[in-house]
Amino acid sequence: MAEGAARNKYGDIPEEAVEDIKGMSAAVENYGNFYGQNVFIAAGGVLLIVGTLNELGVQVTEKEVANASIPIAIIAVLLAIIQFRIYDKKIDRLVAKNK
Amino acid sequence: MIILALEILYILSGIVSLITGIYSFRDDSLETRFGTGLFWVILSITFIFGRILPAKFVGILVLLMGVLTATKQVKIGSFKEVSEEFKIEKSKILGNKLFIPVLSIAIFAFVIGQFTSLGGLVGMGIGAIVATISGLIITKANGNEAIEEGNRLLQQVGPFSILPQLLAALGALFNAAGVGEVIASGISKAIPTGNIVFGVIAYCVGMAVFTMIMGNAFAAFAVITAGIGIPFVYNQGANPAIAGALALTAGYCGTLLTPMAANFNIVPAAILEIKDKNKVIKTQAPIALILLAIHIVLMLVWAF
Repeated sequence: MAEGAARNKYGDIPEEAVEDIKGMSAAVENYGNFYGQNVFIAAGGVLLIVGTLNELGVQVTEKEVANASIPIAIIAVLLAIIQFRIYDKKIDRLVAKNK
Repeated sequence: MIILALEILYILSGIVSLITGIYSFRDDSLETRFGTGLFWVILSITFIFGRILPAKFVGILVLLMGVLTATKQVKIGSFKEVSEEFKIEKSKILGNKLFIPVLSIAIFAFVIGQFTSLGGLVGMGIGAIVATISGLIITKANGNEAIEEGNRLLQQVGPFSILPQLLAALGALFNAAGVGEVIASGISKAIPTGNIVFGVIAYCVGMAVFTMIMGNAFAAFAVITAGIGIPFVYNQGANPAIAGALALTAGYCGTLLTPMAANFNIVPAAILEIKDKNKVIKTQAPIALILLAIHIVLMLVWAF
């Protein structure tokens, strides 16, 4: 989908840019999955944190862990946006150079 | 109340596993049907009778499951395939109503977890029951189809479905065996106990590095939390919810950096036909390192 959008915008795009777009596509899926999932109160990661800490004698609830996962989710989104902007500029340059 | 609700949900989970066991035993096309069936029946026993069985007996059962898995006795059986045409036809009839059961799990888990004292687990269980019933009503499917699909889903996830419980138990085991104290005494030679800054750095970086080695942040969490987290972070007065949440996601920074996490970093490269198979990791590396640094700062500032 991202590749299609780039072809729509630029027409023909150099191979290096295609590779970058594919790499970013896979990466952003991981960012969203990893840093976003724990905001959900019954996510596997939240249950693991609560289970492990309780076994170790540290009392904590799923609700607290899910709430504590919100800031890093927001930070991850912001960083991803910045990385996208940087790659957009790079692809602009690659296309301009190829013309 | 919570314990009773959880117990009912555990029994229901056990019944799902028992059904999978029975299906596996009956599956003539499956060479390892005895081993596979046994695996799921044992799992169902631990879920249904876990509260009344002696802990040692359950331990032996879990070891037996480990043996069955390690000797490759647990395999995926055969299922009735649903044709692509049937799926498309049904989805046209049902439209967006299909999302009601799917979303009900999330909504119940969230609302019950956030606004009642029952907790997210009970919420998710109630959501799953509501989803099953509403799914049956909306699709007008019969109960057998729900059972067959549950069997298919559980078999496809396979023995990995018990990984979270095993890893939580691993953390407790390490704690009982004193692994944490050994690691802690080793580290305390390098960094002074009570120094929060070094403790937090060791915890976050330890999570990331261990995750890179093991390829799995869940496993790293049990080990590193027992070894580094407890003595150097939690016992120093950190807020456990904040430190725990950030430690796991610090581990995910390691996941972004390692080819060991093949299903996240290598498989997508293959599916997307990227020429450089490390391209995904290279793309993720700067973000992972910046995020790891942010984790350290955030844990220091926010958890203490």
